[in-house]
Amino acid sequence: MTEKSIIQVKNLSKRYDNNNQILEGIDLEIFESTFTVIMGPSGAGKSTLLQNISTMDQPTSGQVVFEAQDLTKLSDKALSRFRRKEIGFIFQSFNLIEHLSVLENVCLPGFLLKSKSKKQVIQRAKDLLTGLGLGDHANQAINHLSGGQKQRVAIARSLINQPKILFADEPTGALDSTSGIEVLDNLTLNNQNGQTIVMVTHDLKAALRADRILFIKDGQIYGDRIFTPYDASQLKARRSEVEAWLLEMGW
Amino acid sequence: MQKIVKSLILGQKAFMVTIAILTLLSSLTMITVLTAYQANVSQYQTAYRTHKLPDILVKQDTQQDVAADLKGLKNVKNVSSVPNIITQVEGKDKQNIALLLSDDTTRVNVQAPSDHEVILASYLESTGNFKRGDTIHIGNKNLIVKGFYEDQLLGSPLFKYKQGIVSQTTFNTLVAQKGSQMTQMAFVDLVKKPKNADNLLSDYHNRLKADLIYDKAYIQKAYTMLPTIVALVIILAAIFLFGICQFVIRFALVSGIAKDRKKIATFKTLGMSGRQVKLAYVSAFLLSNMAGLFVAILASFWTSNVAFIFFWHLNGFTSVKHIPLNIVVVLAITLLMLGLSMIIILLSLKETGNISPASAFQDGQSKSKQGKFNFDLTKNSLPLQIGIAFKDYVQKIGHYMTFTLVIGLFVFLSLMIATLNQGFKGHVDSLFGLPKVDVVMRTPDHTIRGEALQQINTLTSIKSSGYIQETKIVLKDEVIPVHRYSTIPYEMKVLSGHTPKNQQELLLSSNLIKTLKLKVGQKVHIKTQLSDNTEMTIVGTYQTINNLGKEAYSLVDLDLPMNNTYINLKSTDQKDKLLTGFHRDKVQLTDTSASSKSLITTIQTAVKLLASIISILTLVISGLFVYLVSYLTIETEKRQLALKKMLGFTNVQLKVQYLFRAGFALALGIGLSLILDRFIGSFLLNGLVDLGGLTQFTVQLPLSYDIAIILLLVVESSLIVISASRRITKIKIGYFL
Repeated sequence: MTEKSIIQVKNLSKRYDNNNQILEGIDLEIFESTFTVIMGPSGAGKSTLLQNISTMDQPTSGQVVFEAQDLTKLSDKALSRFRRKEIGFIFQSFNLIEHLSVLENVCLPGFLLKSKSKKQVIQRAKDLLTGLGLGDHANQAINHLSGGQKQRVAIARSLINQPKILFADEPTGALDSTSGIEVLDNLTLNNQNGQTIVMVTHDLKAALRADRILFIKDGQIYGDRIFTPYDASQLKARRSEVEAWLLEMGW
Repeated sequence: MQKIVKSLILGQKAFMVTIAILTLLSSLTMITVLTAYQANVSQYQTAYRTHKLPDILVKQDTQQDVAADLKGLKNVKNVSSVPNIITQVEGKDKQNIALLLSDDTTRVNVQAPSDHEVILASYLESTGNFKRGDTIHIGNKNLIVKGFYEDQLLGSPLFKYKQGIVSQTTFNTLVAQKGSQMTQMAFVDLVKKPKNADNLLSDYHNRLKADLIYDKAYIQKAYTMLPTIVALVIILAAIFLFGICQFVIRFALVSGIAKDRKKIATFKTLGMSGRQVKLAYVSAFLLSNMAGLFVAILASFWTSNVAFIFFWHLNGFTSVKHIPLNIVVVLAITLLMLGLSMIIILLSLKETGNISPASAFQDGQSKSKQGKFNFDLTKNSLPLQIGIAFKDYVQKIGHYMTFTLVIGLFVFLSLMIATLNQGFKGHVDSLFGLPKVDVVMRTPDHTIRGEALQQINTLTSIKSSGYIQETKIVLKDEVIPVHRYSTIPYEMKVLSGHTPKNQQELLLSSNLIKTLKLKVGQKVHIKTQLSDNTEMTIVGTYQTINNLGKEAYSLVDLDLPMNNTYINLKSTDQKDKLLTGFHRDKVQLTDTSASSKSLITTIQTAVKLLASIISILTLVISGLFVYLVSYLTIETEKRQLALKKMLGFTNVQLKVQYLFRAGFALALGIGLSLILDRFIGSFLLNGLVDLGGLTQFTVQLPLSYDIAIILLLVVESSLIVISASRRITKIKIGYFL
């Protein structure tokens, strides 16, 4: 694992309008090319932490520093540019734009970034879809796809601009076991190719893919453990190790 | 159920309020105008009856009593005649006014004046010519204006005969004066209503000598012509409003159902049937309708009276009367409003049957579908903002079609009103088919005529002059007034054919040729005062002042005595100078347009007022609608907007997309309005003015007006869309994803 920090979270707190404190004084660093998983009981603040780090939400206080700039202080324009260029996001409910075709969904962030020609964006989208086993579905409507296929489209979309960080919020939550494993395999493969991933999950099988697990409890980081990079041949031992640690955390 | 209805109303407060306001405005307008118009007609008819006014009025310039001749005719029950004297008085700005004086007070509600007094028709006061206490010089007598009376017979905005009543002694004195011109008014009551109103008193041998023969229906139509035009225009606008209201209901329901899928699914999960869900929606929307209707009915007690007074003034009457609410109108409008709303609501509620709890809970919002027309972002070269806006627009075309139709109808309405306004603005002479004549000079002989013309020419330059004579002919057994000129002085509003080139040619009013079932080019045999059978050719048709009048133009028959000369000045601005500066014994100058001037001014004012009201309503309601559409579109697309933000769209880009979408809808709406204006605009306007009394409407709205109206709506809509899209900034990504 490299030790190059990509995001620093400093004293981050999140309080909602009803005075409900979700996160309190979070300090955290995310390192380049790592696969970080955030776990914890329901209501602990996992998704809120992910949304605040990924600029999907604005923290009440604290800083999120990316390449020496505080993301919480960015203008709408700068923030939008950060989202389209530096990050990708995968959701439990896919969040694809339903009236766009598979190819259009994947291309849209690429067209928006304008760093490549339209033709290049389309070609990259097609390559990504082929790599994810969806080459034949490029022109299909989103509604015609299965859940697993939709999530793979979401992965392709999140990777179209080659983001520095990929955020995933329960990406296997709405999928059957087989589709879930396919999605996790895709994420793992990308991580092994150098993609930084931060993922929130409840699922132990998903957590096994991580080389670092953060355990959140009552809005604070209760545990932070580094694991060896994922190796499918060592799955049983890894499962025991992760499970034991999680039990220790009160999972 | 009550709680559900309440939650639906509160969930769509803006729409419920808009529907209530639109229902209020459209129903209030309809109830008010229909009640006032109906009351205007019935009140006038009552006044006509109360003053014992006749079935037929005959006016004949003669000293002899015509009653005896009329009494022996078939279908005549009784006849009474009143002698009148035509005299010249000086009105406002020293204008000559031909006053029709009698001593008859039996048909007006006034006390007989003393020997030094005169009572005048009320429009002589409203036009600012005289006021109570003024002194009028008539012949050798000075008479003080005692007061004014309303004339239900010849005082319509169309006729405006200037009448006065003096005492019997004064009348006899004036009659005895040398050179006084007498006319007889005969009031004829019929045994039964004639089958053919066009052929009145056909057995009266002096029909050609009668100055006018008017029947009751014609007189009444002349009075109610202006209120009819005004009422029709307002009702047209109210129908538009009502249509828009139905659009809003449909739009609110379709959008609301899309937004409330989860809520509907929850109701269904809790055991509510599809029918109960529909009932809840019907109740909520009908309540909104009924609220508007209720306020409209209450308000119409007051507005109907205001409108009635307005109409009553347009008739030429000033007395204020109170009218009750017309229950039949109220019931009819209520049933129409609620019935149509109910149909629209039920049609719009079909979608609720397709909502299953499972699908609704999955993602909360309605499933978007790719339409048959698939605009592919990857296969076109449009800029991304326009491309995605167009894609979203196409995807929601049904949603935006309401927007398009509303804007289209409003622009169409504005164009029509602007055209109507333009038509009454600068082309009234030609619109009424009147040849342009500045003044008419009456002289006893040719010598005085020649001298007078020379004198006038030194005062103000004459452009053209010639003989003018008004006579009558009998054509297909109908007496037709004919305006005869030595040369037609000004190009008339010829609708077909051409103006007469010789004495054997006849130009008929379009209405006359229609009712007599004649054709241009046809030869007809007519009876004149000199000949019982003369062949003439119909060479064309022209537009008349109103389609009630039937008249014709021809070249003058020089065998007849020539007393009248028309004069057109090089500069019309010099007319007042001529009228006030020219004085010569035995020569009378008359401003022929003076009588129609106040009618024209009244029409212009009424149309201008209507145009202003409708323009304001158009701007306010279309603005409100554009805001609602934009607001609700954003409201129902919050999740998609959050998603786009997540993908890196800026707030400005998202707002621009909404602006583009509104632009597409606007462009389509404007296109629709221009097509409507091009193909049915003139048809509708002509129908409207035809009902109101005019025959043809061929005014072309200048292009600058079209551009101004369209620009105004585009700017207004753009500002509103920008304002409504400010909500996009407040959408937090995390809340929706």
